[in-house]
Amino acid sequence: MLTYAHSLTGGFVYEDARADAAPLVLTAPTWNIAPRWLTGQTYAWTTTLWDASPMAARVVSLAWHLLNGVLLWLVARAVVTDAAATFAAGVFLLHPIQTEAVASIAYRSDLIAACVLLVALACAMRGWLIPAFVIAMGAVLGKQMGVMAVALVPVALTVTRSPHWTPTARAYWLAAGFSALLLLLDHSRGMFFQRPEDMSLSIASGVALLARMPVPFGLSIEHDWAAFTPMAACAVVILAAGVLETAWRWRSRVALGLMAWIAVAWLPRVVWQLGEGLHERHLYVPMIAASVALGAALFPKGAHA
Amino acid sequence: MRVLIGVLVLGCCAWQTRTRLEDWRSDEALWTAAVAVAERSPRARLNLAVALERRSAFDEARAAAQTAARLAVNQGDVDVAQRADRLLIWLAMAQDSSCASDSPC
Repeated sequence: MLTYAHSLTGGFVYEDARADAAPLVLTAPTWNIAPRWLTGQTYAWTTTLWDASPMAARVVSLAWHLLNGVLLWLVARAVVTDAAATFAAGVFLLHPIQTEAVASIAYRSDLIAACVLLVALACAMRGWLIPAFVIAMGAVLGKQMGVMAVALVPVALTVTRSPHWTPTARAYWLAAGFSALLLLLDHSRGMFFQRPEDMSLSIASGVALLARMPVPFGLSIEHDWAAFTPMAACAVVILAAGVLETAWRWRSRVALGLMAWIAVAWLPRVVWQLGEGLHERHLYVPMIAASVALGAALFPKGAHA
Repeated sequence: MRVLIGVLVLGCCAWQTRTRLEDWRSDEALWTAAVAVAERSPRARLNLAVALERRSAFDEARAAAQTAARLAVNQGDVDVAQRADRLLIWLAMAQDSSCASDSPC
């Protein structure tokens, strides 16, 4: 809170003035449910109940981020030690790569989709799989890509070897998830698959962003993706495949789980035509698993602080 | 030892986040930081030019727009090149009108 307090007095920046995000434009709460409905409502209710100023909007975005930190701590406690969960929540809340999603009011959709995903994970970890599925589907009310929550919950249950993740539960989840996928495909008829060179750019930009996670310097809204030649993109993809192969050889469940989580979270951004490459805000959901993995690595079970 | 490493990592994260948040206080700060990191990005230069123009810093805005136009042409980014050209025309008109009202120019 203290770290972010300094940014609360800033103005509307860059895409904050966009029609679908500007609190000044969207002033009326509505019950017309559609993708991003919850995100739109948070802008509308902030304006209705408080103020249309950038400070009010920034405070609400920060509140979502803090809520996500608490939810992450609760979810992580079920699978790692208390110290690891606390460290994971700290990294998630304070990592500089999160600033784009938190400080820009227009990117609140990432915070809300992640919040819904974390609630779904919390339910799934307790064995409440039906509510978990329904809530995971609700992540699209934060943003369309939130639909991947339906696939991310099984990844988490598999990696953590949850006793609730029985073959029957898997079969039901798969059937329901397939139905959700059909709904998504129906909704996204206007979207097109990316060309192979754009896919390689998405993957390369994603890997380049991941490389900034341990050394988060030189962060910027405008990564110069034009500098990525197809050759460089291929080199990065080969490097990523090498890391994956090493993790597989070591049978590192945490490393493999982390990579599976990131791959599933980013799959639509690689496959569909959704803009130029990946940006820091798209690391918000991957940071959930990265934080927990880092916590588990620093404070493993059985080790004393 | 593990706790010490953990505290150190979180402290570094908090410090770097605080520094990074400075970039998100205004458009000008954001695009100045973007240009510093992505020097070859015409879009970052153009957005910086727009932010400077809003502050009526016409000379700096023109320099940024000219660089944006040059980079965009070199990289074949037609959209940014056209927008930079339009901004340069707008800046010339804005400066002409301020010259007419304030003398000497």
